[in-house]
Amino acid sequence: MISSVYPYITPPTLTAQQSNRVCNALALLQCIASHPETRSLFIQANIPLFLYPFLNTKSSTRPFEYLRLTSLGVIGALVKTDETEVINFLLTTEIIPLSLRIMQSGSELSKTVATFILQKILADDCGLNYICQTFDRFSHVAMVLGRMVLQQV
Amino acid sequence: MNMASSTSSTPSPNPIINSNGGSGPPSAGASGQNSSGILGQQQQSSGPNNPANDTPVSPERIACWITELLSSTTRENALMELSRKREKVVDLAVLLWHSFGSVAVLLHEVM
Repeated sequence: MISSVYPYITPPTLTAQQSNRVCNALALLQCIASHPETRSLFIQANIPLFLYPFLNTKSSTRPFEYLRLTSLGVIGALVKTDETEVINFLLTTEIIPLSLRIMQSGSELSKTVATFILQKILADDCGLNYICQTFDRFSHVAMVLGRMVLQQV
Repeated sequence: MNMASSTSSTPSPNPIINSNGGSGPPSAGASGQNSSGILGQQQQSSGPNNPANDTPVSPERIACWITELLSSTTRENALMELSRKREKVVDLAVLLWHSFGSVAVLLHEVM
């Protein structure tokens, strides 16, 4: 029985069953991420970083789409609580570019969760400061949001 | 690892999980996962009347599945059962975090 998933990301050969299994594991990690007693420990252990390779996948097959959505769900559960600790942690990682990319190219559901994550970062003072610190960061975010609005028109 | 899964039934989880082991629904609200938010009030009184979907999960079952995570032969099923029941067990996160090897197993599944 195959248990580890990283080797199946590049080249993208993840099967539906493997995807299901890892998504069950991710659901349990999400459970840990959303519980007030374990959230802080979860962040201090840097566990979200292990999910970033999944967010970085580009294959649009169902197993990968499901994997990205579930991984985003874990980060979404973290930011849902509006805690500065969470935002400060995320700012030290590359979640913003990952979210921005999924906002442009993901499925409808993934886009929604990725946008939610960015929204929560922008709603936090530290997050807003971070994004406005350099022109590059600000313009990247503004351009992606602008493009999304244009797509809606 | 196998030794642990076959002999002990993970003693530590039980005292914690007892808090929702009774007939009451796990809707204490401590965990922000309000899958039953709308029905919350009603459930207080009519918990047992609910169909299979809301039957309480016994702490022993949960402890058993957590132990089964440790063995590669039982892991896939345990992962599925635990993720299905995660909304109904308020302290599942705490149990997973503090039980031996669980988080390591979850990370192993990912990597």
